[in-house]
Amino acid sequence: MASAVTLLSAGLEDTGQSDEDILSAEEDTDSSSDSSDDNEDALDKKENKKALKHKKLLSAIGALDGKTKKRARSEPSQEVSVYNLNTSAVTGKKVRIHELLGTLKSTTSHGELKKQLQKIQKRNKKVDTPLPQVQADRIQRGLAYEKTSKEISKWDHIVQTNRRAEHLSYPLYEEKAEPATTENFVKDFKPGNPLEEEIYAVLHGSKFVERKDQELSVAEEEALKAMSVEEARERRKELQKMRALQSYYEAKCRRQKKIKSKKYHRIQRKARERHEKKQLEELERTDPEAYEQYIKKTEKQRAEERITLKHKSTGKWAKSVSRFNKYNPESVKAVTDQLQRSRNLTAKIAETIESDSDEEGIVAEDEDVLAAVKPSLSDINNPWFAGYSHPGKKGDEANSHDGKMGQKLEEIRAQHQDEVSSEEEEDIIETLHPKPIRKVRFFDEHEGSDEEAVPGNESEVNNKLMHPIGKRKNRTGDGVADDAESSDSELDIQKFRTAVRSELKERGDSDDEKKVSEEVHVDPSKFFTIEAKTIKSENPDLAIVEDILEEEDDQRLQIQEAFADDDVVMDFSKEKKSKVEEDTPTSVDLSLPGWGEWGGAGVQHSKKKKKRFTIKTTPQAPRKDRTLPNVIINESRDKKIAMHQVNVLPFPFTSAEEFERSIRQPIGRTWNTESAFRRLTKPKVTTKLGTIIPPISAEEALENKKKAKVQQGRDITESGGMKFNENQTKKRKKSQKGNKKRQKSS
Amino acid sequence: MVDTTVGMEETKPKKKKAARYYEESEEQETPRKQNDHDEDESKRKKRKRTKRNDEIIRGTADPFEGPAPVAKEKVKKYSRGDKIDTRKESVPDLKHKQVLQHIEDTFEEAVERAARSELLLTEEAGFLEPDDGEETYKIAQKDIAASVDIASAQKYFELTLDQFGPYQLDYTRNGRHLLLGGKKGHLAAIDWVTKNLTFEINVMETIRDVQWLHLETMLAVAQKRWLYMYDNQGTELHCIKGMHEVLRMEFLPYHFLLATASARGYLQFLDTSIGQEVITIPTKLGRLNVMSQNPSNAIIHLGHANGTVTLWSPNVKEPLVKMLCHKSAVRSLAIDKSGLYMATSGQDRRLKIFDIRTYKPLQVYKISTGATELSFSQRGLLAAGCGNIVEVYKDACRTSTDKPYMMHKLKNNITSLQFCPYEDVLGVTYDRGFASLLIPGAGEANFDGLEHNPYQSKQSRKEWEVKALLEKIQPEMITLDTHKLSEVDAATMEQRLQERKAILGYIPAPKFEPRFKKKGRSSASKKEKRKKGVAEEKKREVLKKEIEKMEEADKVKKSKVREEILQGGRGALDRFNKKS
Repeated sequence: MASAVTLLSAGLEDTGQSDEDILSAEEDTDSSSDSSDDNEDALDKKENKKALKHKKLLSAIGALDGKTKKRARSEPSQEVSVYNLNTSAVTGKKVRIHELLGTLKSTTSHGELKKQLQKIQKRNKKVDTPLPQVQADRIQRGLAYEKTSKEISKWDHIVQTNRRAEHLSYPLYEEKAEPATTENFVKDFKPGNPLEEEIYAVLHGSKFVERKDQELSVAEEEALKAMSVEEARERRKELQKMRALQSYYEAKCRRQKKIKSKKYHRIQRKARERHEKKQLEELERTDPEAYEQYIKKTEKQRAEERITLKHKSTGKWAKSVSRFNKYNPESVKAVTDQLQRSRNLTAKIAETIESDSDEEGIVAEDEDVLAAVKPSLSDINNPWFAGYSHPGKKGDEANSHDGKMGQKLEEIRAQHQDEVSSEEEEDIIETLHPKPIRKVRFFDEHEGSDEEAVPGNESEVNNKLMHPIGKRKNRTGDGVADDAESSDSELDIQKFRTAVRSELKERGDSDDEKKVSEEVHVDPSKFFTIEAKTIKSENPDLAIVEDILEEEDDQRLQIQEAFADDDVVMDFSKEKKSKVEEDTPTSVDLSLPGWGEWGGAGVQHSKKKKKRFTIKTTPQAPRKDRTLPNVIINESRDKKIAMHQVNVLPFPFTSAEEFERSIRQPIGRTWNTESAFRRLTKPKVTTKLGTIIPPISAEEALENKKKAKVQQGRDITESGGMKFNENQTKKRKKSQKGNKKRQKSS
Repeated sequence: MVDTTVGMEETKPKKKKAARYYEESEEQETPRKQNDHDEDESKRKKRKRTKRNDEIIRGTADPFEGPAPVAKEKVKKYSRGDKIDTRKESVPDLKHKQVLQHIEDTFEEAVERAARSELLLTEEAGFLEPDDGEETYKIAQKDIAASVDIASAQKYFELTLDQFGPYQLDYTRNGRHLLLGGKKGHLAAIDWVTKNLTFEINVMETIRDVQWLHLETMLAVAQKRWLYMYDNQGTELHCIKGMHEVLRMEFLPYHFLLATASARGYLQFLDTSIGQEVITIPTKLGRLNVMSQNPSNAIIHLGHANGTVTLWSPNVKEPLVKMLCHKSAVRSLAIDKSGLYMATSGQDRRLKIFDIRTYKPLQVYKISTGATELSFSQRGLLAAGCGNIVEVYKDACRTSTDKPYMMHKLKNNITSLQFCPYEDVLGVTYDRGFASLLIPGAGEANFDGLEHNPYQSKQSRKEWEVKALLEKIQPEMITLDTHKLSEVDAATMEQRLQERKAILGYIPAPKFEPRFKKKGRSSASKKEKRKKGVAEEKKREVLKKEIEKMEEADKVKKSKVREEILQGGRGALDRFNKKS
């Protein structure tokens, strides 16, 4: 139908009317139909009509000119149509076939005509004109491309994995013969002759046979089970009871947890303490050994607590609290709690233990007295009063419990009760629990430290006192001055220590003092300097020593040794200074005085110009030896090594660091195990000698695709060793998981 | 108040404990239940398990499946530096990221394998273990020799050589041969294990120092005026007149360099593989009679009369580092095998241990007479010769000691000492002889046969020589920091970039390397064309961008001016006004 219409319309258009005219005509008809509806619209349209007509007229006039010839082609016909078909050209209206035949629908007549028309319509299905060759080809190519690309895309994954593969060995997809192991043989074994069949049946059917992955056979397990029936019942009962108890206990806990009252908790605590005490008493009566053990344990705990700084206010956190959080009552409370804990742990054990002894009355009295003496501030939160000791009782304590440490502690306590006792104790604890010697900080050895190594020698100490002042005069070098200062402070400490020691000597027994001096490992003076440590050894035979001196033959040197120490240091610091100056670049002034301005004596050059023509230096990296007063490090660049260094980043690398790290591991045999060396130096592609390498085939490749996927793009045809490793690690992980499960279940 | 654990369980029933007990018991019960009720499920489970452990045919599964775990510390010992950062932010390119990942994987595996292979070092080293109250340094050499096996006992011996005066000694690197040079011209090479004399001559001149070269077939002798080289028959091979009055020598085995220090203050390097002098450095630091090498980075250390120690490489004519170690002359110095510690002794009778990486002193010891000779053993023992006494210190570097590990008294003054590699032996020469002392725990117990083989045959020696020559390291590669070579030369890179930028006006992208194409499409001209095409394209892009930028800027400027004019702020003729 449609094609017929177009045909018709084409025929009609041939009348030569321009599109514009047709349009206008259509508009005309529209407007006429609508005019009844809207007056205003009608008016507008009338005007439009007028304008159009005017336009037409103008164009007609224009056409008269001959400039714009209006071509009108008309059908050559001898007859003028009765129906005035051609007038449609004037009105510009297309005639459609359904318009012509529309009326026929309602009638039953003209059947013949209808049929004919239908036939015409069918027959007139005209084949399109073929597209030009170029276009047709293009479309075809496009379609072909789409299809083939779709087909090829199934190779994408294979290509990608092959490209990414660490290693490819050709021929790809080669069947590997598995080694004939017993396990493989057993796995695939099928009984052939009747004997084999019989044996197989026995091995596989019986419950006495060992099973995979299980220690016991079925029969054994059953036997075990049979044995434990009675026990099982008992066990079940027990469990029921436990469950009930558990639930009661939980309920109780829940209830108690809700209670927030202080009083309640206090009562609770008191009750608990009482109970503990009772228990201890009982323990002492019934099992003195266990009691002793308990005491020892607490003692050890106490000693350990005293050694460490665990619950002290010296930690990072505690310090930060005391600095930044001191007005926050919660955090302050946390700190005090911690201190309290430490107090508790370090409190004299005897207090708790002794309270059960006969002298309870006395203790109570003492406590009363103490309460009177104690300032009112003393409550449980004040760490300073928490571990308040009872001086009257110390003598008794010593006898109460034995053990090496306890005795020692008591002895010392008895000897110096007030002043230095704590220090002493710590020392002894250290000796009893030898700690690893603390790291010595590496400072430069300062002058004359050897003299300090022998404390107590007064004349030397005096010398020392005189010394630093003289030295400070000499030394102007920056690093050395610091040293002198440090030596001063160090000296003070030393003096203090010697004084304390001498005092101790007077008071205490000489034996104890000896022990202390011998066994103390951590010497605070070491934290500041390195002392020259005298090595105990034999002296070489004197005659020979003299020999050496003669050979070295310089008294001069000896004298130098005696006097000129400082000169050496001075010279060195001077040298360093000059070297540093030499190395620091100075800005170059290129301004020419008198150029572009007045010259001569007394004329000031403009600062602006000077600034403009000075070449400034770029700021240098700080010297490596800036913190080392006794070292000069050459900062100049080693040009010769630069020849061998990489100075252009190889292509895929984007940063120097990345590249450096990628070559950090030596790959030679010397530094690697043989297998690692082989992997590190493995070429990307290897070919098997003497085999034909066929082009990749879809069958094999696509079959193997799944396998490749499993290996996730890593070497798809890797030799056994590599695979072994990966599998091993996987297995290990698996087994670890399995172990965990087993542990849970057991 | 006090944590109590004895007998408190009943009164303080801990919630946790009870719960655990309860849980445990239930779990024990469950399998039984399962067995009773649904056997199907258990069967299914079993099937699963058997599937997982396919390989196990009978018996129980291996409880320690897979390779044994390696200790982290061991792995750390063998790992070299940080890993590459392969996160997406730092490596946006996926392909490159995969390459890097692969590199990391292989490295990791290599390190792990190295750590694992420590298992193969079967020999164990041990020291003397004293009883309570016993001191190891009081144990005499005779006692040790009496209590060890015959083979070891024979390593303790003394040679009396009282004619040709104080001796110098040197062991070969495999510890098999010993070279002795007497001051009065006596030169002898000995296979000291078998006690076979290789050769013995008198050079009829003062000998100042002796040094084996890369093998026991060649040796260098510093004589009165010049440096001489001999072979293992005592035949003079070379007389090197370019090296005067050499006092001390060191041979850098991996570089085939012989470093000599002369009385006139010259430090010279001679390449013994090609016989060329590499460099002569006038140190201007006086007589150089104290010299040692750092075995880990082949840097030469010199000790001077003003108490300084200087570090030298053949590539720089100035000292790399100058340290003030003593307040009087340095007498001797030694550097341990790992290149971490340097021991120096001075005339101030101090023995100091320095960390050569930080140049800071670690330990300072005072020795009664001061040490004239120092030597480190392979396992870090430090021997010091003090007069006629040899003292050996253990753990003298990391920790401080106050007594020697071993001590031995000789008849005369010690002139030189050296630990024998791969043996628990210390060789000491004195005025009138040589003593070989047993120092338990001194030598490395496990030797690498491909590196230094004490049991080398003639054939393997020849092969080793060829290999060593092929693997010779050029003298330019001697640096203080051994990792320097694997670093990118940042200074040159930057400079090159700047130069290119100055010429081209922009920083060019990394060079494009055309991919190989078949069928003659990768001929040189085609490649060149492709390269050019890509280069031009990139250039065009960059230039385009630049131009766009410029245009934009221009536009903005113009529009600004126009706006100003439109707003009446500035007339068209205002441009002739003077700028304020």
